Amino acid sequence: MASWTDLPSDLLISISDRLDILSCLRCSAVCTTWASTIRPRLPTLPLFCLEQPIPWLLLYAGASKYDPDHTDFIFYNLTTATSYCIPSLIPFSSIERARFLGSNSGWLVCTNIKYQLHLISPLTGTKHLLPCIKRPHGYQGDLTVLWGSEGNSFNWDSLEKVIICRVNEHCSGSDTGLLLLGLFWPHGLAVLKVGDDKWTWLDLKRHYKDALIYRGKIYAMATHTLCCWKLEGCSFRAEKALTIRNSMLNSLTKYLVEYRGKLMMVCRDSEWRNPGNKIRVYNLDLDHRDRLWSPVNNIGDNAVFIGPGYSRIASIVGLHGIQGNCIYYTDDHYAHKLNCCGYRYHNSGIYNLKKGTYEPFPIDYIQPPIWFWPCDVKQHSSNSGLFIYLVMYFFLLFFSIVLSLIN
Amino acid sequence: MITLTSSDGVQFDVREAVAKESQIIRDMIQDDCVITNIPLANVNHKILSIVLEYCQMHVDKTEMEVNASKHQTTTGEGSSSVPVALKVSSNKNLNDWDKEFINVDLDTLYDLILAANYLNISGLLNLTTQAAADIIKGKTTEEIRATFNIKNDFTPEEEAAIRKENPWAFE
Repeated sequence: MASWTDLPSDLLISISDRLDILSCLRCSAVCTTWASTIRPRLPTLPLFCLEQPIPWLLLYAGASKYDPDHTDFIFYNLTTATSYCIPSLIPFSSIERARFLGSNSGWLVCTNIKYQLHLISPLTGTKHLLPCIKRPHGYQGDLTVLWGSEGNSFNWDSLEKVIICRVNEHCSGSDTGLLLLGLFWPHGLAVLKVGDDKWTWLDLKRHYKDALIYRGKIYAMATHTLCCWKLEGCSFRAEKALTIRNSMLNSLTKYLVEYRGKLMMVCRDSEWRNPGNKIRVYNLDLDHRDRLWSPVNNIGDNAVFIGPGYSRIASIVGLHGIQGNCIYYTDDHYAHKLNCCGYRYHNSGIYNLKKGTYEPFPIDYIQPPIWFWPCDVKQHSSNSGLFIYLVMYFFLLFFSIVLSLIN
Repeated sequence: MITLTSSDGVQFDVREAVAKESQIIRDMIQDDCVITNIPLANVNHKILSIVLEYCQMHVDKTEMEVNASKHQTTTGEGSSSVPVALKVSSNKNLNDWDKEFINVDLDTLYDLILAANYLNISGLLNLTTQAAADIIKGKTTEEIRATFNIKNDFTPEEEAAIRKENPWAFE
C-alpha cells in the first residue's frame, strides 16, 4: 500500500517545486515528514495577521532570477521594515512592465506591456485575462490601454483604478466571487463580475476617485457626490446620490474606508509635486443626510492605508514599526502612471493626523507601489465592542452576586 | 529485442528503442552491448506495463516525426512549414495522450513516480510529479491529508506554531 508520507524527499521537492506559494505553505503543515522537507525551502514571507490587517506594499513584479519565464514579486513589510521576494508561477510575459491598478483579497489587477488587463493572484499563481472595455459613445479605443501612446498622441481616455470586491452572495455565476469596479479617466464607472465577458457601465459622466461595497451596495465617490447602486441579482439600480458641499475638497483625491460599520472619507492632494500636504478625514453618516459629513481629528490607535488599490483601516495596538493616528498613502496620480515624468517625484509617505506632520517612506521604488492584502479581510464591525461590554456586564453581575452572598 | 523482468518475475520483451527511454537502461546497454535480459528489482509487473506503455507511445511518436521529415527532405517538395505543422499537431496529440494516460488513482501515481525516478525517465517523472502537484493545488491542508490519506502526526502545539507563522494561508 502506497504511503505518500514515505515519498523520498527529493521527489516531494520535485512536486513542491511545481506548486504555488500558498499550496507549499499548506503542504508544509500536512505532516511532520512533509514539514521537514518543505519548510526549509520556503521563502520568508512577510507577517500578516487577520486581526490587525496591516497590508504589504507591493513594490515590483519582475522576471525571476532563477527562472526568467516566471515572476518574482517584491513586497515591503512596514512592521519589519524589510523587503521580501516571493516567487510565483505567473508567467512573466503576462505581467511584463505591469502597472498596478487595484488590489484586494490576494488579487491584483494590472495591465502589461501588451496593454492586456489581467486579474492575478501572486500567491496562488492564478490569472484571468479580463475583457477589454470600450465607451458606448465618443472615443472608441480600448480603455484598458492605460496611458499608452498611440502614435504620437497620448490616449487620455483610460481605466485609472480598479476596486476588487468580494461578493459571494451576489455573484453566483462567477467562480471567483469577485466584482471589479473600474474607475475611468476623465469620467466613468463600470462594473465587471469576474467570469463575465463584458463590463457594464454604471455611469459615464462623473470622475470617480474611489469606490467600495458597503452594506451590500456599491458606493462611489466623485468630485463632490457620493453615488450609490443597489446590487439586485445581476443588475444594478442607481439610488439617490448624496452631495458634499465643500469647495475646498473639490480638487482633492478622495478615498472611502469602512470602519466599524461606518463609512469614512479621506481627502488628500495626490498631485505629484505636492507630497506631504494636509490630509483630511471625515465621517460620513448616511443615516443623517442633513449632517452627512463631519471632520475627524483623531483616529486613535489606528492607521489608514490609502492609494490606488482598496483602502482600509487597521488597529496598530501592540505592533512595532507602525504609527497610530496616521494615514499611510502611496502615489495615486496620473502623472505617476505616465512614464514621462519619471518616478523621482514620489507622493507617498506617512501623515500624522494629530501633529499634522509628514514623513516619506524609508524606501525607494521605480514604479508606483500598491497596498496588497494576501487574503480576504473581514470588516471589523462594532461587535467586538459589544462583546467587551457583555463580558464586563457579566463580570459585574457575578461580582455583585458574590458580594451579596458574602453579606 | 530486450527482456525486462519485473520484481514479481514477469518478463516483458520490448524493442531496444523503447527500453532506452529509461536513462538507466540506456547506460547499461552502452556499457555492455550483449545485454539482453535486465531484471528490475524495484518495479512490479503492473507498474512496469504502464511505464512501458508510456515509453512505447513516446518512441512511436518520435519515430513518426523523423520519418515524416525524412519523407519531406527526400521528395524535396513542399515548404518546410509542413513538418513543423505536423510536429505541432503531433505534440498536441501527445500532450492529450499524456493527460489521458496520467489519469490514474493515487496509489498508481505514487508507484509511477517511484518507477520513473528509479528508471530515470525524465518525461514520465515530469508528467507524474506535475500530476501530483495539480492534485494538491487549491486544496486546504485538511483536504490534502484526506486526499492522500496522510495522518496528521503533529502535536497540537507544533501544528499551531506552524499555522501561526502565516495564519492567512490557513484561512
